[in-house]
Amino acid sequence: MPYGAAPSGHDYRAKDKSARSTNGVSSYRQSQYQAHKSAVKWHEHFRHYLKHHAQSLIQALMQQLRSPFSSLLTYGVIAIALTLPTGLYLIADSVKSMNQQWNESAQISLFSKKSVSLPKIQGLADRLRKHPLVAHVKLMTSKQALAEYKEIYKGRNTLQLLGEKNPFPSILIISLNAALANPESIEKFANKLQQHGETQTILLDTLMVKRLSKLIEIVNRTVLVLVIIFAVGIFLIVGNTIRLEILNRKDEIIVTKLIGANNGYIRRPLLYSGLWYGVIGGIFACIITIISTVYLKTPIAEFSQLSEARFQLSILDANAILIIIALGASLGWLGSWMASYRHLRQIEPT
Amino acid sequence: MIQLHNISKRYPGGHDALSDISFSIEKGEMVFIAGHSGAGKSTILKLIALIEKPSGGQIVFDKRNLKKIRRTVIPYHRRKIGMIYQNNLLLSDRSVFANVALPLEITGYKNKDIKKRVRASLDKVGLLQYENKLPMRLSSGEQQRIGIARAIVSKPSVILADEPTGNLDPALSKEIMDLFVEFNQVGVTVVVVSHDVDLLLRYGERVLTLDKGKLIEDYRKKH
Repeated sequence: MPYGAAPSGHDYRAKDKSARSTNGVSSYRQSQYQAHKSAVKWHEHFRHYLKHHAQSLIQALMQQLRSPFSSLLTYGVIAIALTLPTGLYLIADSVKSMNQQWNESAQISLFSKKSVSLPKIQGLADRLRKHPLVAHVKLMTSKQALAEYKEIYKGRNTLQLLGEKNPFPSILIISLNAALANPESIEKFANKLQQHGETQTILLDTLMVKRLSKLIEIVNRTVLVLVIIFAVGIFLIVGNTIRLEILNRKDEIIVTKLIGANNGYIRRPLLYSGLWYGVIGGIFACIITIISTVYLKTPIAEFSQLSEARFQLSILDANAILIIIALGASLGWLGSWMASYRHLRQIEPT
Repeated sequence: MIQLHNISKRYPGGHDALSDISFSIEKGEMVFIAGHSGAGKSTILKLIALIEKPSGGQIVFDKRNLKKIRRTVIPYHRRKIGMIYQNNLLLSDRSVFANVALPLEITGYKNKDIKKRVRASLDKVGLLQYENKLPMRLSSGEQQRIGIARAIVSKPSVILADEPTGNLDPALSKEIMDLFVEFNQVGVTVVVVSHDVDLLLRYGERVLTLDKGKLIEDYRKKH
């Protein structure tokens, strides 16, 4: 095939030929030709852009699979960096469910004034039942309270001390809505009840709930700090891996730059390489977490049964798995972008 | 096609590679740049391909002032040029076909066009039968021809060749120079840097001679 004879396809020398053929033709025809040419160009460029993205995605994965040992090391480091905060998050989530159980067991006992009539107390109970924080209200009349007392202290001298008089007021036992209740809201609600005209006194024990709530806050903050530290770690690991990859391929990068490749073209496979490190590291992290959860589940269940703590270790759900993989992918991409942006600018043909 | 106006180039460290060079190369011309080592021959090619920037003066390439070209546009400028190097600069882990296809892949040609063009180029330099081999398995003359195939595959309007026959014996050198003459005959501007006197005497229609960074002669063969 002679050099001048161009095969079909996009050929910029063909442009010269077409341009020559437009000599003498009206400027209108020429502008039509230019418009058509630019439209084709835009379409072709976009097609090439997408094609190169797809190629880079596959090439980057293949490149990693070709050197399985070094790739596995990077996946492993990323997986461990993602597993630690994930594990702690699961523990925090489990403790949170325990706290909910504590909140559920939180009850307020409202002792009414002796002077308040039963219908009034019943009215107060009805009003409280409508409150969003209240799950249900049990009314114990003064007679019921005395009967219960007598039942408990049957045969003891204390009953004689009471005589015929009933010292007990009516009591409202208010169980709280576990989903909405927290130590602060419970305390606020109890203070409000105390101010009621019918209320003699309020009994409330939130110390345990408060302690657990503070513990959860500590764990949550620890998870956040660990997530940030390990995220920076992953960012640096991927960045360093890509930096070494760039240095290893320095000659190839120089050649492609000399031929006309821009930084975007060279950077694309590196970005996908970072993305794959993050995605596969994330998948490994999920596998490690699931295996660890399964391994710990039985002894925790046994401990829970023995201690009546109703503690259950949370497991990774589909959403959490997706978040971990997406987090790994984003950090891998970012680390790779940072390294390639910096180093590709420094590598120029001389 | 290419005009150099009062070009000078000083490398970091103070070495003057070129000083006050001016000449122009017309479209479809074949020009040799001759001179001793360190005369500044290769620097001229590097300046035209924007591998280096001039310290002074202006270069106009295809009616475009290269001084005003932005950094991001440089790759597109290089795509218009077919550059051939003395040491080939081939990718050793890719096949002959993949090496030659690289400029077309970068530009975004369709696969079927890439196949056609690469095969046409390899056929032109007589290496079609080696398309699946690794370049390092071939002789230095064949490697040089792969470099040429890569340079012509995107059908550039200008070919810049830096000592293309430097490592080759006279027979192979003639073969390669005949290829350049053939490209030039179909309208391609060819600029060859060489210090091979035999080559210059045989093919040099126009020879620019440099000495210590200065243009000392612009010789044109009389017909």
